[in-house]
Amino acid sequence: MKLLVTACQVPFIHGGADYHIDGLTTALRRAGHQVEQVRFPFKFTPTSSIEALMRHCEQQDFSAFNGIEIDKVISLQFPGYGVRHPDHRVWIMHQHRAVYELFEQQPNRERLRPFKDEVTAYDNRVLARAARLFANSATVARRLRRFNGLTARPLYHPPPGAERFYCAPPWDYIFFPSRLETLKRQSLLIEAARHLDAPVRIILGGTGGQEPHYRKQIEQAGLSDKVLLTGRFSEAEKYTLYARALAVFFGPFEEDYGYITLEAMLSAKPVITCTDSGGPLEFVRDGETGYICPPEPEAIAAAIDTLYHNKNRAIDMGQAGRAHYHQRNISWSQVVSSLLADN
Amino acid sequence: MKKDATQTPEQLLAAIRAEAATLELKTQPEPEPVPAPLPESADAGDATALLPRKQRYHYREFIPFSEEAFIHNAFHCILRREPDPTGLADYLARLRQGVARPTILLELSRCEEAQPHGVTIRGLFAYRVFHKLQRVRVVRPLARRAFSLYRRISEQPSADEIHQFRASILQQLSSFAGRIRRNEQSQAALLDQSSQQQNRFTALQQQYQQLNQRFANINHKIAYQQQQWARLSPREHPCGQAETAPPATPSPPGGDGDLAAFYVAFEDACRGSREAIRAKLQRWLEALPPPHQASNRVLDIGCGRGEWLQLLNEAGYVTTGIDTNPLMVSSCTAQGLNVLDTDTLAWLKQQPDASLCAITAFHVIEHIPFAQLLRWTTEARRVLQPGGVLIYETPNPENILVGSHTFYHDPTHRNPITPTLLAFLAEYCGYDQTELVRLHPYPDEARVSGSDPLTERVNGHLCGPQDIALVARTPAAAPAADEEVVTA
Repeated sequence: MKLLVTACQVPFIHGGADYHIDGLTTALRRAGHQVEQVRFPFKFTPTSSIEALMRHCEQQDFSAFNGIEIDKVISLQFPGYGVRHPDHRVWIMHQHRAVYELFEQQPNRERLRPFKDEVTAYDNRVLARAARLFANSATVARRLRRFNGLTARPLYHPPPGAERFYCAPPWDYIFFPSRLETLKRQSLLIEAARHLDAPVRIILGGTGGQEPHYRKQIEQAGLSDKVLLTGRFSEAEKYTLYARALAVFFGPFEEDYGYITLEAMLSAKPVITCTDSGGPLEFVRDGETGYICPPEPEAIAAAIDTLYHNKNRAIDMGQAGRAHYHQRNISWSQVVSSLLADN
Repeated sequence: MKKDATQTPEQLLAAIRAEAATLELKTQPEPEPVPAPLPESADAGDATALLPRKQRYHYREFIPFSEEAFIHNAFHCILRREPDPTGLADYLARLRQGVARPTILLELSRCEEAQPHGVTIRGLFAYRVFHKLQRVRVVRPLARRAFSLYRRISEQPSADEIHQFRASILQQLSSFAGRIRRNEQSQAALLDQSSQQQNRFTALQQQYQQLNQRFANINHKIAYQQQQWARLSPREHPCGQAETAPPATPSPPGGDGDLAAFYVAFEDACRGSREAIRAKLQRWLEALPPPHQASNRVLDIGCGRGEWLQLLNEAGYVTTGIDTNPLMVSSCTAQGLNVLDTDTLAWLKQQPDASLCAITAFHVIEHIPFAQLLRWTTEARRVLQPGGVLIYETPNPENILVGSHTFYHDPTHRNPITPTLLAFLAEYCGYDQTELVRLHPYPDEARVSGSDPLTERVNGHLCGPQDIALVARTPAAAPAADEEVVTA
């Protein structure tokens, strides 16, 4: 089949989304299809540029190009999923979050309201046209139901390098890899370090806009001997950072999906997450493969202390998490067959 | 490799990085973005470079090149080919004769070969007019003046061109700067290399000297070993008092390898022949309980080269030898004897009560502290079966020559043990039927002749038995030990 995959492109900003888009393209090609990507240049501001892109996408007819018929279009992102095709499969990575679940946190809500209404109407309209509607996770599906009244089936895919994660006897540290951004809430874990009674270290992996802020928070709390910011780390270091951790903390606010949960499970490590963390909640079983805490430093510190003082239990929880991952049958071939299924 | 709370986060991270470095990954970290280096060939302003292929040029584009490059470019742009050697030579000659470049461009663009390519060179119009006018003789001077005026006006570079020119000069400068920098770098690298080579050479010289030194040492050792071999090669009784030398082996202090080797050599030099030793030991077989009564196990402490153990085995006893000299042990093991390099007391403590029929130690007890001898004797009492035999043979200090002289041949001897002490020790430890056997008197010819009391006394003290043996037995019927008796 000739397939088009649509997504956005933000020049020089690369991350999990690129892996997702390329991963899907590769998987479709492996399944024997001809696949090309169509990427729409995207910028968050001004909102007028997004409005223009929405209009542009909705005007696109992707059913054929110069006499070449396209069998199916698979769209992953807003607003690319507005393009028209009779067999349009939409697998939503996430919607335009600023006007949905993050709207209440926006500083200029009133000015943003007309834009919010326009995006919501766009989503309602174009997503209803999709032949099949999937969501990246149950969290994304739930938002779609809540804000747009649409039903999407959650469809999970594996994290990058899934086969390379390994597990080794734990050293005394908690690992939290993520971009250093407010939504990821590294501050929760830094604050938790003050309440720890176990002598465990905290390793915050990654870079991001909030790095100076978090660095300052660590220094001011006098936690420099407990909490470490690694900055950028290599792929090999990633596997070892997971493999040697006592546990992995992943407590962002309303994460869409979150590879970190899955990577921790693949490394057989217990995951500590929060009741409002979104994606991770679909995988972590409280008390079995990790802990689900209220987003409060004391509660997180208590969970870490428990794991430290019951290391064998922590190891068992990690193993249970890995077993649970494998039970879920998360693979690219599963993704391809679900996306292209005709019934 | 446990990473515990004593580690700083930085140490932890270092350990993690070290482990990660051992992972074999096909994909490596995404590289830090680095600006792409300019390709070498992109050096701007190169006078030999070719102009891009296009349909329209201005003739001024051809002016900055050297003569040869100009012709190359003219062919390349107008005829779309390299100049043939004749053409090149011809045009070069004409340029050198003062023919203007526009003339050549005009000729080339008018020739038949150029027509299919349809390349236009702008700015040549004036030349065309001039060419036509030149054919009319009358107007030729006028045309020349008009043209030189035209040229002066038209060939003034425009502001754009000045900018371009300046940019091109800047580019060239930066390209030159780049080249100079690269040269400097490679020079520095060469300098570095040569100093490294100098260092390596010095290191090699040092190594060579060290090896020379070691070689000299090894030669020295080989010479010494050869000397030793010569000394150890078979020789009959080099010591005058060979018979008195002990056949058994004490523990060389501290397990010192050199001392062990010395002691083996010393014994080899001073011991009697194998037959002589066997003959001397033969008599002790009679002192032992017969092997078919109760236990037939015998322990020989300080078994040396194992002559006594062999005799015992031939007589039907099951033997264990203990010796702390590893060379002796390996010699015995090679003969198929059961010999251990172990601590005697520890070995005795592992044995069940009443499990041995005899314990012997020939010329051993003078090598050990008395406290140790007392412990051996006590423990032997427990381990020996009822009626079992303990035999200690040692130099006899009743003989003045032994006590004052021959005893000290052996540098590992501590002090002579008197018959009185031996007898008391046995009784104290609960043996009965204690017997002292005096052995090996000087041969008769050594004695002072005569039979008066003084001569007897002198002979007794100087030529009497050189060795003495304690033969002690455990009480034959020991009711308390009955149930513990192990039958062989």
